[in-house]
Amino acid sequence: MRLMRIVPAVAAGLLIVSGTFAASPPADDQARKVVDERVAEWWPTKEEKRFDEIGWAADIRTARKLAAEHDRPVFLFTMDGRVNTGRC
Amino acid sequence: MRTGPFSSTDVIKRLNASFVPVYAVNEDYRDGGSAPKEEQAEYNRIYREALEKKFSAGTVHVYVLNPKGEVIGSRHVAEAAKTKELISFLDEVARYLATKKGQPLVEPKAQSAPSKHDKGSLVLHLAARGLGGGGSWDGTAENWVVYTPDEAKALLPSGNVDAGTKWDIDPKLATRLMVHVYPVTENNDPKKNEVREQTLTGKVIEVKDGVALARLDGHLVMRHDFYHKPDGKVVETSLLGYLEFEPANGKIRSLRLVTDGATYGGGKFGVAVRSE
Repeated sequence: MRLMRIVPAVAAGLLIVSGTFAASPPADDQARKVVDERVAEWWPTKEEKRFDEIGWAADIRTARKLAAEHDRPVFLFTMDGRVNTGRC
Repeated sequence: MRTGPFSSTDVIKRLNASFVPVYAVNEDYRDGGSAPKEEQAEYNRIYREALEKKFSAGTVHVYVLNPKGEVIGSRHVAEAAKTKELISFLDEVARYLATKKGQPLVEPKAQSAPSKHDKGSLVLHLAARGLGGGGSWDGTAENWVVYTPDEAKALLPSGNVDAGTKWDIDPKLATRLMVHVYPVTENNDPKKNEVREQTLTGKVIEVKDGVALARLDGHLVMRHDFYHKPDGKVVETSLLGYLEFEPANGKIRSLRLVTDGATYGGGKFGVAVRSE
C-alpha cells in the first residue's frame, strides 16, 4: 500500500514552506492571515487527488451490473482502511 | 495504491476506458460491517472463487471479473502497487476479453466526502501531511467531522460577545476533532487514540457588522500508535485557528485551524482544518 508514496511526497514537499510560528505566535490581527496561508500550503493538491479522476462504481453489485450491461471487466480493489481519504 | 498507480495517468486512462473500477473497504464488508448483506456475500463469493481457481487471494488485493462476474485474474497489492506491472495486467485483461474502449461508465467525482448531515451542521474537513523527518508515511490523508447545528452553537461563547471575550471550547466536542490530528499512519482507528492533554480556547478579536472574529489557540498531546499495537508514540502540537460567527443567531460562517510545530515519531507533520 505504501510502496509508491515516496515520489508524490517529494513532489509535495516542493510545495511546502515548512516554517513554524511556535516561537512567536502571530499577533491577533495576523492570526487569520497566517492560518489561511498554512491551510493553503498543506491542503492536498490536485495532483495528490488524482484518485478522484477514476470513475469508481458505488459498490460491487453496481459495478457488476454496469459490467454486464457494457461488456466490460470489473476491477475490484479491496483494502484495509479508507483509500478514498488516504487513511489506509 | 492511492498515491502510486491510482495517480498514474496511464492507469487512470485504462481503468476509465476499459474497466468498471470499484473499491471495497474490508471493515465495511466484514460481519457487522456497514455494507449490505448482499454486498458482503458478493465480496466473499469473489474471494472464494479466486481461491478455488488457484488465483492469489487476500484482503488487500486486486481482483478482475469478466462481464459475467467470473474471477479471471488477481494480483496481490505488493504487485498491483507497481505501476508498470499493474498496467501490464490491465492490458492483458483487456486484450484477453477484447474489451472496447469507451468513456467512464461512472462520472468521476470526489471520493472523500462528509457523512450525511442536517442543514445548518458544521462540516469540518481535515487534511494531514508529513513535513519531513520521518515518523509517518508520505502523502496526504483526510477526515471529516460533522457537528449538528446544536453542537455547532455549543462551540461558541455564551452570553455577551465583545472584543476580548474569552472562552473554553467544550472538551468533548473538541476531542471529536482532535482524535484525527495525526499524520499518515497505518492505524486509523480514532478510538485507539488516547488524548492526554488538550486545550482549545477562543478569544474574540473584533465584532463588526454583527459578525465576530475569534482567535483559537490550543495544545494537544495524544498517544497514537503507528500500527494497531502499542508503540508509545505520541502526537504533540500547538494549534492556531480562527472562528467567524454571528453572535445574534449562533451561526458559524467559517472555522479554520492548523497545527503549529506538530511532531510524531521523530518527524514533523501538519494538519489543516477548514469548514466547508
